Amino acid sequence: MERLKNFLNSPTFDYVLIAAAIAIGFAAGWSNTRIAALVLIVWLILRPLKPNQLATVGLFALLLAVVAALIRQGERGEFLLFFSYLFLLLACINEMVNAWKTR
Amino acid sequence: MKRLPIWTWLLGIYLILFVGFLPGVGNNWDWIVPYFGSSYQAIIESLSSAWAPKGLGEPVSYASGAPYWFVFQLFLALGVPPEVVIYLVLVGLFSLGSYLVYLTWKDALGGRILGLIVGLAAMLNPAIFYKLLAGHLLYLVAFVAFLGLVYYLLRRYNDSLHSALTVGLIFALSGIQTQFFVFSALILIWFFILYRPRIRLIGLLAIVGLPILLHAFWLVNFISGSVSLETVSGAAKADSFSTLMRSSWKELVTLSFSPATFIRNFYSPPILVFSALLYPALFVGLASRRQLSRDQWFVLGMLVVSLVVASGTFHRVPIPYLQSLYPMLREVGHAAPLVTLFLLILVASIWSVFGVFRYLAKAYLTIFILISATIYMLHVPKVDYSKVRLLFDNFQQFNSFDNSTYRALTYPFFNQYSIRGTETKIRGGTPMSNSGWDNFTIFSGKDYIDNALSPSELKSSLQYQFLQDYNVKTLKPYNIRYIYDYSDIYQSNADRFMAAEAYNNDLSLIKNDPNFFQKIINKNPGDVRLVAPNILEIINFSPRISGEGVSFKKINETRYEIRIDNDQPVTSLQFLSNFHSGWKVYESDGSRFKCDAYSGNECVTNKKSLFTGDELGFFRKQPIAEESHEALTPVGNSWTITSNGNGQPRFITLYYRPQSWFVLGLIASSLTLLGTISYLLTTRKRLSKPSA
Repeated sequence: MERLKNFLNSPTFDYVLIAAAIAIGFAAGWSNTRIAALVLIVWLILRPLKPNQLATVGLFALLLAVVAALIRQGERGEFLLFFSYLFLLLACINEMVNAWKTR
Repeated sequence: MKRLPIWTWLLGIYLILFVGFLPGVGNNWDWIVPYFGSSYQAIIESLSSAWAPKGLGEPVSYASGAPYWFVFQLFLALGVPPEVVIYLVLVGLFSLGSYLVYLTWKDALGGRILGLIVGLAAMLNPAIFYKLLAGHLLYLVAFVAFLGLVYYLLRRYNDSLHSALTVGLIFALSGIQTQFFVFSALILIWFFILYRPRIRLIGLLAIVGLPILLHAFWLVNFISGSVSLETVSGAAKADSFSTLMRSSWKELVTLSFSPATFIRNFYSPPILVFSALLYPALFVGLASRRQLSRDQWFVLGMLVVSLVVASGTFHRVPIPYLQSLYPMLREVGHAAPLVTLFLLILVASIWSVFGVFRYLAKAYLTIFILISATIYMLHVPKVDYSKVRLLFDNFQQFNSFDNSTYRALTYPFFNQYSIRGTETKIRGGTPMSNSGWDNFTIFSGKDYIDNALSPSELKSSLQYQFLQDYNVKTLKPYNIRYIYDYSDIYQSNADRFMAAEAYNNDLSLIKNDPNFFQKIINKNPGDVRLVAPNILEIINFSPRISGEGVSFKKINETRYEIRIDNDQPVTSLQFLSNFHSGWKVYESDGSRFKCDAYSGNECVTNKKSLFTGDELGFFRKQPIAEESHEALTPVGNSWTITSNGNGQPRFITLYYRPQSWFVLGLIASSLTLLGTISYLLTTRKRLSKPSA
């Protein structure tokens, strides 16, 4: 039991999860971009950034979305807006885990 | 001088802001409100029945809003004109909504003024404007209840049973718009995850069980087999169109939401860009803060969830079991007010602590409110109810004159309708005002053929078939007695909401034909007659119930008493309503079949018994002729009744058995409500008593 607990807390398990995310993406026939996004999300849940850092990345994506709209790259802008949303989502997931741990 | 309480300010603001609504608002999209005060009887009849008379008869499905209609009809019964009831409802809802937001967030926002501004902005914004434009009044009631739930959870909740029951009660109230069952459940889950409050098992049972019991009166329809979740979901899915189910992220950021909300038709691009500043303000605020308060996390979490619902992206992720609920959330605009609410609160609370930016936030939100207030005053669809009442006066009088059981066919066919003489604003080819349901017929208390048809239903519809040859034989199997011609009042806009192929590119089918009645009279000499201006009667129409030696009396929408002369065998007892296995035939003693006047084979009475008192007794009774119950073509139910051979008049009851479940559910809901309120009042008194 103790060994299992150690394994679950080890970096190796993190890499297993990353590999699983890639495998799931391939199995679902996703594009490379989507698989990369999934891997990034899983990684950021495993190794959380602080909320203000996540918001900074989100803000950056938001500004790029505005640039994309200005140069008439609407589809890319949509993706970037979705990307900025993901960072809000990640911040909330991290806080949820945090709230659960620190009761 | 003593300061006036904030709620009086809010009440004053909305009383003045909505004063232009006093002559009447509505007749646009989903505005469903009666024009005549006397319509309250029709509302009660519909609410008290598990079998609604709409169309060719159908079991109640989305009946969660019954409590709202119950309160609405109480006002009408007191003699308050419908347009005044709506005005008061709107002022009350908006004031209460703003006040609840104020109460919840004033401390977090650091003062009364910003609290008041955010409270106003929560109700005066593009998303709520869309709800007013579309006439989603029930949604607004549920939304305000939702705001009450947030207030109670964040500011008043403790681990007592009293508290859990209060949460359960507000949760149930928010569920009168079924989507809020989901939204409120999500907020409760997020609250319990984030705050981890203590809760006892009995408290948890109260929060989960109370809403189920309070909504038992309509949820039992799923137990009784009256309706199935698949049918309701399927119907919701069939009504959906792609612009309703998706919002792009750009639309979310600019608060214009899905194209089906039409917000962008009223909020110009510069205003949308102005609204979009909230998002960079949110990210900059979050990036510059090391810590968020628990309340801010709560709001951020709900914003993230609301955004997923508002974008419609969840449709792409099928989750087993939960997937059957997706059609309920198909209209992504339902999440728009939540996104706006959480975004406003979060941005205001983050920026309120940054010195000079606090003033900037106040200025920004004040402009935000003023823009929406102006758009509300100018563009919420208005219609003068007193004028509409005059237009329909002739039909209203006729309806009160004939109490027999029949259906009416109303022309022009195919909603939605513009009222003639009222301005219709059209943008991008779509009416933005004065284009709604036939609210006169809906609340007439009479059964009618439904004119709300989807494009795919149009060509197979009865109305379409009738327009091919004007032969009234087409109408006979449907128990249609009268044809009402509303051409002088209504103009159909169906062509603006469906592709030309749906009606064979033949506008004459949609638009008013001045010779409509003449064509029917010419085609059917001797079969029809004009009985009043614009009302045509079909002579020898098919009665609702027929058979050899059969006469009947309608008790209510779910029950008919039938007399069979000399107990003769009836080879086909025909009942012309949609087929449903819930309709059963029982032996009767005939005590309810007392008759003074007949119209054809119907014993006509102007007294209707909404509840007969013996509904629960039908659980024990055995139906007869069950094996012979079959569907008629094109519509109806049929039974073969064999004779008992005694030669005396025989009485039987035709009853929609799920009504017994409905009554049982109603008793459960009423007792639960009574019990809960009594408990809350007594424990409140006990808590407030000083200890000895």
